Amino acid sequence: MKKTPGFQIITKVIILISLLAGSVSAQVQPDSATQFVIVKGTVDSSYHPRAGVLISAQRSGKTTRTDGVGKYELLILRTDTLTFTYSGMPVRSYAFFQLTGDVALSFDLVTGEGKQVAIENDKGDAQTVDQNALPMFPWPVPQPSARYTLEDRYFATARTLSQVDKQLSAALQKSHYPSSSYYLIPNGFAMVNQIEQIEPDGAPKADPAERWSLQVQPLRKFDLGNYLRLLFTSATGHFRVVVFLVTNVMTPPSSSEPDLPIAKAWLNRGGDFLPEAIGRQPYGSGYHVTALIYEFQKPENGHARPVDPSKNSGQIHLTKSNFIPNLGR
Amino acid sequence: MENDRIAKSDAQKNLAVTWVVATAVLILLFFIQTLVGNKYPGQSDEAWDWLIPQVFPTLTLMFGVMVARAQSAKRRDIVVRRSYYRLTLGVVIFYFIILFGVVFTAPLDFAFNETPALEHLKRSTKIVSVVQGCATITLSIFFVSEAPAR
Repeated sequence: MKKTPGFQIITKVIILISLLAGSVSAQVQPDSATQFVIVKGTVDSSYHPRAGVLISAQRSGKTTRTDGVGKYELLILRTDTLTFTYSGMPVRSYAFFQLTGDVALSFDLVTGEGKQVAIENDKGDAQTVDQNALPMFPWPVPQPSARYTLEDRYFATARTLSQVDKQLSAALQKSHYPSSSYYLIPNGFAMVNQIEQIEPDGAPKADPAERWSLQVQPLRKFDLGNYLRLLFTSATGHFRVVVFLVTNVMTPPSSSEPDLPIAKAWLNRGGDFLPEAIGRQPYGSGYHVTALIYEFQKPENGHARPVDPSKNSGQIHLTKSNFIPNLGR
Repeated sequence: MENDRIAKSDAQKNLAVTWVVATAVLILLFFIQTLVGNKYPGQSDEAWDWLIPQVFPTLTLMFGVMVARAQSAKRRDIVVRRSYYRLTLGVVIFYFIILFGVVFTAPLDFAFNETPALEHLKRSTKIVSVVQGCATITLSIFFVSEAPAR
């Protein structure tokens, strides 16, 4: 829909999500010369379209439901309030709403207790203001080089996802991992750790400057044997990203492989901490902590490639990095 | 003085042998790097593309002139100044010192400056081309110059 000249004022959309009501509300304001706007979008949960979600506009009284592929379209007043009601949908399900028209919004939304998401829109763009909204980790997850499901005994005392997070964080800190970031996955969270340079056997580089560098530095000082090896062969850097998945949902298989820049960017694009709304969720039966190992090889004269499969098992990776010994202490 | 002169065919042969031996060593080195050591995975062609223009044009030029001389009836009578032969040989040796230096410093450049070997080779192209130009000019003048026999 074309913008009218009178539509100069910033349009604000406030989305209110209520855990108890199990609904999502959106308010569009302020008003302009054009009274009505068509809102289109989709609703899904964990990338599964949600059919039958009731969308109602409070002022205009219009209502509609999402179709079989989660799509909806509704004519509303500019100052209207949209309410998304989806009783029966899991509370922590992942929802995606896309509103197009004079107010074109595109944002990720996670339901949670008392969560409030405010969207300010003046150029047809949308921005999620909610600081606690975690981005979604690619799902299904990209094909890892190795994986390992940690034994349940490590988390026998954990009652919530937050407690699992604290255990993982403590073990990672003891293993000298400097930072992690968080993503949302169905019924849980993913923790991504900083990319590190490792030896071919899976042990991290002893020198921290090398371990956290993306540059391959085979000669710290001159050595004839290493020099001849470098003269005739290509120096290869081995890199690893460890991602922990805490969920009770089976990880679906995927054939996609991440490349090194994407895996490196995971750390920066995730959340700094586990939001309380997610951390409070119970760590009950059926929950597991699975480590995904993404290993890459970067030859001196070439691009980094994912290693599939890794010649080291997931358990070896986690043991050599001292994570498992530290988790057990 | 007889020692001031050298038979041109002998001088050409010495220069050609020098060039061929140095070229053969370089080719052997690149052969090991690309086919055995996989030094340039997926980029072997680029490595060879760097090496071939450095040695083969001059090599074919020398062989062409030598073959032409070999077919000449006067070839035994032609001599050149020994000093000029030595100068030419020196320039050729200097050129190959530069060329080998580029190849042998690649691991050090990578180890200490993180410059991949292929990039190191490409970066050196300008300086190598300048020295190669000097060597080619010197060789060209030498191969056509003649001094009267005494």
